[in-house]
Amino acid sequence: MFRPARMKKVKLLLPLEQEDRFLEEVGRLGILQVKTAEKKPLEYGYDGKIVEERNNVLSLVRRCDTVLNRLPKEGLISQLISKSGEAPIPLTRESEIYENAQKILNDAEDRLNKWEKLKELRLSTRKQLSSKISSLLRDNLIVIKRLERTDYLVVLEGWVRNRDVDRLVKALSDAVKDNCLLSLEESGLDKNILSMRLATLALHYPVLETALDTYGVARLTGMEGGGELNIEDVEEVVDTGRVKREVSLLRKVLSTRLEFLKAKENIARSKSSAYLEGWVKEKDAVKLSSLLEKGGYSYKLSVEAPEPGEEAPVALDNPRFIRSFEIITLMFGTPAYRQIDPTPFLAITYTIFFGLMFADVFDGLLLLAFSLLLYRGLGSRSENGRRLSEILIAISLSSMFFGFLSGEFMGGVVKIPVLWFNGFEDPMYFLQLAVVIGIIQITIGFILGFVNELLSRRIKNALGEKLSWLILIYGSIMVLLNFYYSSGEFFLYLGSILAASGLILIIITSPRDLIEITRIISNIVSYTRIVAISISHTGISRAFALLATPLIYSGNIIIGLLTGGAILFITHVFIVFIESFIAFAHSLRLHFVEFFSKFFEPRGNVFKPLYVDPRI
Amino acid sequence: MDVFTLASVLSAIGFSGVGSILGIAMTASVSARLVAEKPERFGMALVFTVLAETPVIYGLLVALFIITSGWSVNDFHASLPLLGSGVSVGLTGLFSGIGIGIAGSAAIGAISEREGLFGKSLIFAVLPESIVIYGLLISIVIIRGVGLLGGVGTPYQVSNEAAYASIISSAVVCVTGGSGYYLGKTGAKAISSLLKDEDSFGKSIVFVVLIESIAIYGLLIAILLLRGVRML
Repeated sequence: MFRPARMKKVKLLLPLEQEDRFLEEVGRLGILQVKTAEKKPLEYGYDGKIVEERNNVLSLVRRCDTVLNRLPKEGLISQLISKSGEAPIPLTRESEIYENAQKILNDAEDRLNKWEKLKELRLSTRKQLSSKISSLLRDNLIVIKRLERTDYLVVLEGWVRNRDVDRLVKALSDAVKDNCLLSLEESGLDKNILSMRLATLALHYPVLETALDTYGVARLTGMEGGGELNIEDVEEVVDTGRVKREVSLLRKVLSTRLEFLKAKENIARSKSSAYLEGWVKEKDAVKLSSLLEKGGYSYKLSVEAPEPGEEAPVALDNPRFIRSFEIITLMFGTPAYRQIDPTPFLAITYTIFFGLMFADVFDGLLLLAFSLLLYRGLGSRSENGRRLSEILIAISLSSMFFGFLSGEFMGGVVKIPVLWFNGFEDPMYFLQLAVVIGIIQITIGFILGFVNELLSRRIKNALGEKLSWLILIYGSIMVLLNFYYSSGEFFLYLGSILAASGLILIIITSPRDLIEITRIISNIVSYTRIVAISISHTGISRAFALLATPLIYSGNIIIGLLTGGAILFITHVFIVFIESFIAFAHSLRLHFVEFFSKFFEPRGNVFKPLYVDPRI
Repeated sequence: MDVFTLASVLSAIGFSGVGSILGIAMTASVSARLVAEKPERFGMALVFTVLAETPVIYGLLVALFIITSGWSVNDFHASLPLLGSGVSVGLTGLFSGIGIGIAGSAAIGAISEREGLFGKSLIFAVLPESIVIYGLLISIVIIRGVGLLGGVGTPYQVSNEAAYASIISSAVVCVTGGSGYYLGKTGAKAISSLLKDEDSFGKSIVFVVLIESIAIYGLLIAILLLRGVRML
């Protein structure tokens, strides 16, 4: 748990004809990262055609991304909480999709071009067409969509409002008497709008046109250069959802193919066999052997530990309830292979810090409700979404816990007993607590740094850059405490000796680090932000409670509860929205700056095994 | 309520309000342009715009506390600290609001090019907020130190030393709080660097918060001053 998973280096020799089958099967397990074969035998070489194919596939993937970026996107809230409406698509005909990639993309781009053109005209849906026609019909008797002339006949197609039919008939009658044919039917756009078709002799048309103009005639135009719009195009809705599904599916197939080709690119070949090197987690080495054994492969396999100083890829290996916090660790960087994984410590301290900053039972409840919606929505669509929502669930429970301990519920509208302390009422105690928490976390940071240096066999750094600071910090604390609380001469002398020893050790091992003294002080004081953010959160809640409470207890219980309750609910949603960002970001900042800077060297590479979707 | 108490209310809401106005003006104008081109980014742009509003909310909070609790304050020794309280949250809110506006505008620019940068950009955009939070902390400590809002002091009976120490501690936090503007500027640069290399996030944040150290030193001195005159 406290270290990344142990890795083993793999060297494998296979007949050429078994190479693709092996890659597919090991890809389904997702256990092997293929790397460049550094120690390949001399007679083995790399295949240039694979690089070419890989580049082609990469350009197709990029084309897919371009198409997907052009599609309409959901709003932020929708993206977060709406569940994926699509059932998983079985990718049973991967080769067919792959061979038709160009055709699928060309078709998608054509449809998108059409959709974008219509979008510019704001008539891409029947609803928009209907609203456009309605607005034109407010000031005009008819709207024309098409006018066809021959030598003898003129045919008009367009729309008219239901209630204007009589006026239209009168206008036609006055102008051309019975010398025209009018047919009306439901337009399918709006129940108040009728489609009309009007035919008359060409010689009567000028009179008819003049008569209609007095009542108002509009033409649907909008294309560049004017002219009539092709309404059939407009009336057909471009199914962007279908485009998205097809191109997403294609992208999935292409991405898998790309990963496959990247692995093949790193495999060296002779005339008859393939040689590959890779990495596998120690616990998965057995699965690899078993796959080769049971798969009927002719192979030669060697599994060995990484050489001293060799940087294996890093796979964080934490229990289920801590694994979600790995995304926070990885946001900063990937720990080096032989170093401590800070995720277990971060999971505990991050949850505590957030809970202290956001201590309120009701606000914690609101945040929990949102987290559960997010888990159902974004969490069902992506691994990172699921992890983020799990983190939010943990920190919202922490907020509720510290809310109970500090007796905070909706800023004091509901009185609950203080089980430990209330930060707003007793900021001095809270400040002292925050500083102690800071010193504890910095101590843990230095201890982890000390261990990391020992694991990397850098004894001088372990003593000079880590242990010396710990001795200096605790020696100084003993001296300061003696000044404030008169803890006795023993602690004064002990503290002085420790502080002096720490200082001497720093001067001997790395004197330029003395300048870090101010940074350490700043780091410790930085933890007072926990108090500041907590007080600001409680202060805002209490201010809104001051506004709402007189309404709630105004006399009329129902109106009081409704108005006061509504104000409280809305203001607390606002508080949760704003203050949770602040607490989230500042807890993050405390870990990245004050904690990680003591030991974390983000120079690791993430373990990325070849993965083939089992549905393909 | 005497003139210092009134001035404290004006400072609290006035300066922080100007900071928020400037911050929101910067982010809202960039948001409007983004939303016109990419309407689906409305929610994200709104988050950055609303962030710039938080300094004035804190200013409002302090102003409300002073008005509701300090209505009967007429003594110079009690109202001078209240002036310090108002100025503390007001001026820090001014610097903070401008800083959030600068970083927020850069963040909106970043998400217009790459939606996936929302989370990391948000971290940088929130950092200038620390400054007004420190100002708010000192404000509330001073208000309670004067004996209001359930504080430990005897209401309206404040010594000369405590009164002057409140003003000085408030001034210290305000002067060092000028780092809020530069937090915004460096945060904006850090956000731009994310577009080139997203993995630089961890290292960039270390550089940005170096500026905040100055405000932290100011906060430390302010706390020690207030502790020394037993207002904390």
